[in-house]
Amino acid sequence: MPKIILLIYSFVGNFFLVYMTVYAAFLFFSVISGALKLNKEKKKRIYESRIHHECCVPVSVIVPAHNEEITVLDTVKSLLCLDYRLYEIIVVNDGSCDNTAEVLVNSFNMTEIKRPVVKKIKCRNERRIYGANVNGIPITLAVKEKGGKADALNMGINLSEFPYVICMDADSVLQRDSVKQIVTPVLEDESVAAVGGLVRISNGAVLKNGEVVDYNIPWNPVVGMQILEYDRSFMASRIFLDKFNGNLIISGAFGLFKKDIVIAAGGYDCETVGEDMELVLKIHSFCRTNKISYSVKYAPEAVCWSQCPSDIKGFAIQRRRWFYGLFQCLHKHRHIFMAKGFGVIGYISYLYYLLYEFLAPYIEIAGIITIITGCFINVVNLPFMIAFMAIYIAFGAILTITSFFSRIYLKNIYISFSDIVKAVVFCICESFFFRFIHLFIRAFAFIGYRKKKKQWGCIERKKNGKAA
Amino acid sequence: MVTFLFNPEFILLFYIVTCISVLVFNILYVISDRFNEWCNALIQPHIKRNIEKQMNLILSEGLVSKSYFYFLQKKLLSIHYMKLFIQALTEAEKKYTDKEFDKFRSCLLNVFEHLIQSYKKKGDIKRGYLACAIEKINFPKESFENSSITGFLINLLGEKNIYLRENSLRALCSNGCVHLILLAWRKMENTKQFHDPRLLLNKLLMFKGSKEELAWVLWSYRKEFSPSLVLPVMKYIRLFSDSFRKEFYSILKDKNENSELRLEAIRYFRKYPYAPAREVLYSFLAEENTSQWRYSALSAKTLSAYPGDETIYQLKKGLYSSDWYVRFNSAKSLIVGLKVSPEPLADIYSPAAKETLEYVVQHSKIQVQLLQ
Repeated sequence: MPKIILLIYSFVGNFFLVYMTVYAAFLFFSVISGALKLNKEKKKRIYESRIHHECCVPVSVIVPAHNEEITVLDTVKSLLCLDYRLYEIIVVNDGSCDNTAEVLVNSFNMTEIKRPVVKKIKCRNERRIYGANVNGIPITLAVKEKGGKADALNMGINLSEFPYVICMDADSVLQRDSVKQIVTPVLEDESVAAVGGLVRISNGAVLKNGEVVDYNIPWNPVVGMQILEYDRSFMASRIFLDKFNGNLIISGAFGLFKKDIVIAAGGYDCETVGEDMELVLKIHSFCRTNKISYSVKYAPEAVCWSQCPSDIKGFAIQRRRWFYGLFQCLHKHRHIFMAKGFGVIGYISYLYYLLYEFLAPYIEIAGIITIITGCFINVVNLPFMIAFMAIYIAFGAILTITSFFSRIYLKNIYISFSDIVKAVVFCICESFFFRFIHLFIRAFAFIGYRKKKKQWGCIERKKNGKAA
Repeated sequence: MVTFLFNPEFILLFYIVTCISVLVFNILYVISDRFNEWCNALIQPHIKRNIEKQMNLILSEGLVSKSYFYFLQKKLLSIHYMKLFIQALTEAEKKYTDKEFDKFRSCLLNVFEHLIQSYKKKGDIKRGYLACAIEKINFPKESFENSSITGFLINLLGEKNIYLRENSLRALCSNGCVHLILLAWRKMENTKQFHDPRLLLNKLLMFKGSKEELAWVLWSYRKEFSPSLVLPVMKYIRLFSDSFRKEFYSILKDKNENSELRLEAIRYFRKYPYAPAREVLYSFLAEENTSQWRYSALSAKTLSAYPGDETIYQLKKGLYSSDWYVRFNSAKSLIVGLKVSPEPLADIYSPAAKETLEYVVQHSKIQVQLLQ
């Protein structure tokens, strides 16, 4: 065997070893720290270390909608049931082809108003604006030219009356106490610029007026595995990165932002697919560059229920979109990487997203190819590699189970025996199969994507409360 | 064969073992949780019976059982028992009048004075819960204000942990001693711990004593405090008292005063109109410096409480402002607040001003629909 080939394989082998060990360590420490954090939160809850606030932070809830006639009414109705005093609802209908606007106008008896829009952030023009007041809660509906989700959110921010805005999806349902929970970090620390909530998958949950009345993990493996995946990522990376103000993502499904900072930073970027991540990166960048004291927080008690794709095709479309968005964000804000003034964000958060989120599919596929070719030319110890992979996958599965059950018991969530069985089965399937499907979807995300970059990410909508 | 820098399988095995330990810990935790629930269900009625027994003793013979309170002194060192005790106490006190139960509370005060010595050294959650328990017990005012418990609570206000400050403030405010609130404000000022003014206002609203007295005391010492501590006091005053017009007017006029305090003064004069403030409000509204738009916008809103031709004239000028909020508030004050008919507004020529007026008319119709 030529020495050079052996050297190359040794280098590649050791690279993978370090890569995977570091990743395993990151996951391990983040899951453990997530569990400890939730445990502390539970103790705080029991022993009443809480902020009881009746004096609310006024918030504008912005719901961008595109072809959402099936879900938008339920979403607005659930928003009207929020356990909060001072808020307004702004629905932005972004060039829908269906009856999204009509459904709202008829249901809430909305009146067309000639409201001038002060465009502090650039966005496409409005066509009509409607207003209503339901139980003392102002509802505004803006019908505008199609410009994408980011553009719709910018329109919502321009229309908002209050100093804080909540951005969410039209198919999401906020839990009754979620606004109260998401504003708590703002009351704790005046420098908080953005707060992310916990997004849970609503397929399988029956929701009534913003409260879960029944919950079962569906037998659909695509949904079941996403439930576990969400739990792991929220429990692990979000809570862990939150410890040092290092979160780079606030889910577009539920996030609170300080309006003046968002406006000063330039609002949502309409050219980026991952507008939610882009805004958070922009806030980090803007505040650090201008030496503004700020923090981006994560509130695991603030729960939002959101639908997820229930088949592989829908899943692939969604994940390709997310992956492309990740690439755009990392590329646009590459100045953060290892930058002096960005501290942990530049050294850990950005590096983590670059190596273990964006480059991971390519690195892992390269690793698989290396192992296969290595076996053929007899430079790899096959039994050892198989054992190593098996341990690695088992480790991932155990971490997923750990994060799932930690959340269940620490948040006093009741689940049935069949759900426990499903969780364990899906967890194993996720680590052994689903992970690899996801890997290939991401690896080939770029092929044919560019043409569709300004479109809304659409999954087949179902009414919330009906299992997928 | 490829040689590796270190043995990877051992590291992964170590992680797996640790994760399994976490899982086992989770299971044991769930079991211990269930066991605790079962124990609580047994213990709580017993605690309640004991309280009732003591109450009977106090009411019938005017005596207390020293051994019982000594027993409590020891047991309440456990935060878990403290939680059960507070729950049982809340249940038990429903059977008695406040006056009757105050005798039991007074005896408990001595127990808590001993407890704070031990709790001082404990962690944040435990100290926070002790403050919460003090609030729930609601000790009689006279004995509470002279006890060492107040010192413990005041000290918590210097802590970095917001929950400690929150619980402590609740305990202090719910008791109704004015001088304790003054001490609390001083402590927060001295330790420079930022506490959101909205939360401070919320605590002031919980105050059970004389609101007017509290307002005057805090106001008279306001020079000692930074604006973030004065602001909630001003907001508190705005909610119930019209006797501060002269005092707030001096803030309104003073250009060197903190802007948040001056804005709050404008709000105050909206609720409680004061003739000398009229001219100042006009001058704010006419301010052309765009960085001062908040003064202009708020003044436009406040002027709805100052009817008159001059006000209409000033608000009409406000309609030409380059700032949307100033235009909107001017239009709202004219149409909704002062109910100006369309004729005097016919000479408005700016498209932006007309647009704003039109919007306000439609907006007010929606409000009327709601009321109907």
